[in-house]
Amino acid sequence: MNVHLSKICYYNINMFLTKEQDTSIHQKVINFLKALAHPRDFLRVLGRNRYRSLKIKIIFLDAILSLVPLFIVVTVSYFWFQQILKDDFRNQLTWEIENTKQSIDFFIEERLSALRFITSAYTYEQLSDQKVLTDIFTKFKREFAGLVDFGVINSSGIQQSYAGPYRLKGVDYSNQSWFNEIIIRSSYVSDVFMGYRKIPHFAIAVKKELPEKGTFLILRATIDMETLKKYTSTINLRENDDAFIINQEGILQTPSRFYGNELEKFRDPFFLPYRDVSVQEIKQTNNTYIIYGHAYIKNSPWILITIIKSTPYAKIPNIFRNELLIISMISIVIGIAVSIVMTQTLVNRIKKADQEREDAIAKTEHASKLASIGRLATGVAHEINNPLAIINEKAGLMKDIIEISGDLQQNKEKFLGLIDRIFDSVNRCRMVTHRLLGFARRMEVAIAVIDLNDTIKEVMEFFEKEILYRNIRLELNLRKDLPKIESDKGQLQQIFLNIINNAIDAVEEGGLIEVSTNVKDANNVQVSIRDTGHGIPKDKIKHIFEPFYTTKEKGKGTGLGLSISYGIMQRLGGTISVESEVDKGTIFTVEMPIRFETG
Amino acid sequence: MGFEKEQNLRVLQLCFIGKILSGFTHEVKNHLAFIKESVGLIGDLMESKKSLSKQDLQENLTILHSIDEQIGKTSELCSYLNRFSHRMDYPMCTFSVNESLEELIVLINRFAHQKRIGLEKDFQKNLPMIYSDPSRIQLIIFSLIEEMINKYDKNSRIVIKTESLKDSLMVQITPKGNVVTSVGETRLSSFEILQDVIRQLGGNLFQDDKEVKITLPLSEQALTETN
Amino acid sequence: MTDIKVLLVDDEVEFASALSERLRLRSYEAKAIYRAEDAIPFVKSDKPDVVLLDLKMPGMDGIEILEAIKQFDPTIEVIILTGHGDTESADKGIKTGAFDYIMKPVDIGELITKIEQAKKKKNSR
Repeated sequence: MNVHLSKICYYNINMFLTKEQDTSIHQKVINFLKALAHPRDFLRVLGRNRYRSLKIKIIFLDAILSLVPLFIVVTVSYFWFQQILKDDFRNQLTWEIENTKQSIDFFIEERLSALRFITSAYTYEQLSDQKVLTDIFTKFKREFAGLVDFGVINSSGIQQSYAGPYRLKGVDYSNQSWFNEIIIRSSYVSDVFMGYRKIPHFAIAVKKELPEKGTFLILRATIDMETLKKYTSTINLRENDDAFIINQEGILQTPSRFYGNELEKFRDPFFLPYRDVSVQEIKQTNNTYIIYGHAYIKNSPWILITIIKSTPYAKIPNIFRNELLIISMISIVIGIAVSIVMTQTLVNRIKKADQEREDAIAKTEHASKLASIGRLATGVAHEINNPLAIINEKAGLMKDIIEISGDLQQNKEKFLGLIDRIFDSVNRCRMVTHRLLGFARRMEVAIAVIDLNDTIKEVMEFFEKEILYRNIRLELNLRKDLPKIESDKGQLQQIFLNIINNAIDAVEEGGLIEVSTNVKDANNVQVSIRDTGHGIPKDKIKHIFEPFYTTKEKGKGTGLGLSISYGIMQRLGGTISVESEVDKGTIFTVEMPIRFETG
Repeated sequence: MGFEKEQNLRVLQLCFIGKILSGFTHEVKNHLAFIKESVGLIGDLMESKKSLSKQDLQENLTILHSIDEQIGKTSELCSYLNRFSHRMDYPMCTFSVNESLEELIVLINRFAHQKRIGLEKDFQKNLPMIYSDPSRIQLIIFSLIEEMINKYDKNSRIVIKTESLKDSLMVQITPKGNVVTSVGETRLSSFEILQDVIRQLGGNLFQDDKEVKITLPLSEQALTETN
Repeated sequence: MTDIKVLLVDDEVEFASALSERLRLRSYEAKAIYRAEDAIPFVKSDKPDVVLLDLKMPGMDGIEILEAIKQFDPTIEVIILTGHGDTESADKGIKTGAFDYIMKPVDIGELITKIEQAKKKKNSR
């Protein structure tokens, strides 16, 4: 019942969609849509026969199973690798920043130590002596690059002695903030300032307490900022990177590539959370990342700022990615190639094994068929011989009677009786031969391996003109991989001719005739011929296969067609059945075995 | 052989058996009909006359004699059929080719007779026995003869000759007559199958315009060598 | 009447009755039985000279009957009735002790000859 309903549903879809003249494209679309609705059939659509589709399924599955993990691993590795590189880069950067910071720390510390040493090694008087100071300065200048001048300042802020390129002896620093600061602290590092000749300098100073005198002195040295700049360049900077030193107020101490020159205000967009060294990764609005490094320089007002925008680690993954891609592509290609080869081999083996099995089954069936034929033939020979022996004796007896007794008159009755007995025996033989003949006839059909779809197409050619003339829509749904069958092509065509003829007569103008072929089960195929004609009423349908039964008017149609077809079908080992509904249509279903059965 | 070829061979074999059986049946029916008619005739004779003359009696005897003949023929036919069907029991055995061909010829006699083509035997006496597959050989010979019967017009003859050669045995089928102009479909595919079968049996099949020759190996050894 | 007693054992009534009648017309003392089970009792009671035995009867195996007859009286000669071309049964019968065989349909002349030969053999024992 369900099958019937679904058949009707799908027929309706068919009718709806095939309004256009060109049925072939629509047929394909319908088939495709139908296949989608039945996922099992979907891959059938791709694969022509079941081995092809099996191969495709296996390769597809194999590809997914191998490609998906590959893809996952590669992607994960890629991002993990990228992350490692990033981390590594950051670590590297942090190290560089720390290193630089320490170098600068040390630089400062060294100079402060030197100044302290000088203040310890020489007396106030010595240091106040211009000549001595100059001497010391010259000697130190040789060792310490970037040293611009020395200055000794007394507790009142007056520069008592000066060694250097400028004339600064006697300058009063008492109002300067640094002076006040150094009074409090014992050492001092200044911000960068534009010195004379507009060259950036910075100054360092140490205070030496003179407890015997109750006073102190300040030894001050001015250092060229160039030397400091050297240190910032130890950080490996690329195109968009920047490293510079700012003071606590945000004034640039060294020139920055992008944020201004010395003594300009650096607009620090970021919060300065920590002292000492911090390297942070900050996400910008345009989704790129900046590495922002702070390093507080000890004993100084300075902060080393490093802004890294470049992502050299990104380049490596790119290279890595390209290599990876190539390797992946090659692996995929090799993988799929191997998969295809193996699947081919495997499925071909399966196909061969299936074929061998089918062949073995066919062989066994055939052997048993032959065995039963043998038994039958032997049986027949025996069953004919016995009556023959009887006939022989009866006839012999008749001969004897004639020869021995001579006068037949007395034996007339007997004679006639003998003749009757002979008739009986002949009839007995007849029955046997009749049976044998029926059997032989079933085998005597011109059995061949035929393509049912081709057979039907040939039949339809007969009706081309008529169908066109009568404006009948014809649909052929011939299943593509229908197995070839063992049958009698001529007789099958006779049957189809008959049924289609009836369909055409039933349909009249503008109707639909649909012929479809299908596999019914492992052993049988099925042909359905459906028409949208006037149908057969229930009370008549029981009789249609009877001989001489016809619904046509007198003179038209012999009524023999369907009964002959039915008989032929039986001999061929199949069946014909019919379903019909008045004014809706009729479906004739012809079922036949794939392998020829002797009924 | 390929699977399809095997399938076709099976179908061919069933067709062949079918034809043999129906041929046999028709022939037997004919004989029986004759017997029946003859007996009926005697009956009528008896019924119609009040007293029978010596001549009548003689006539009856003649009729009865011919009935005897018919019975003999029918019986013989039955035993041929019996032998024929038993050949299918064993795929390989030792048998006489002459005997199997004679069987075949008797069973298809009617078939040939219908087309007015005569089958003639030219068998070598004392032809050695052979170890092979008798039913397959019968199938092949039948297929070849059938093709000729369809090709040649009436009153032609087909001579079936057997001869032993050094290592082999030869069956030669020679049609003598005129070819029918409309040949119809030549069953090339079945010829290939026949060749394959003969090869499997260790022999060979040659065909040209004049005749068809089949050679089969005599020694069992030759057979096993080819396989 | 000849002094040869012939017993026909065959399930085909028409055949056996007709043949026995033909034998009687030739002055043989011929009787026919149609059931395998009746064979041995009849042989024992009637003591025929020659038995014409059909091997392919329903119920009992003809060979068994043959053996039983031979066991009862080895001088009784048995002629096997076989189907045309059935040499297998014939050989089997001969091996089991039958004198000869004849094929159906039966040639009456041939049968007479064999019956005489069988009787001769019986007499010589």
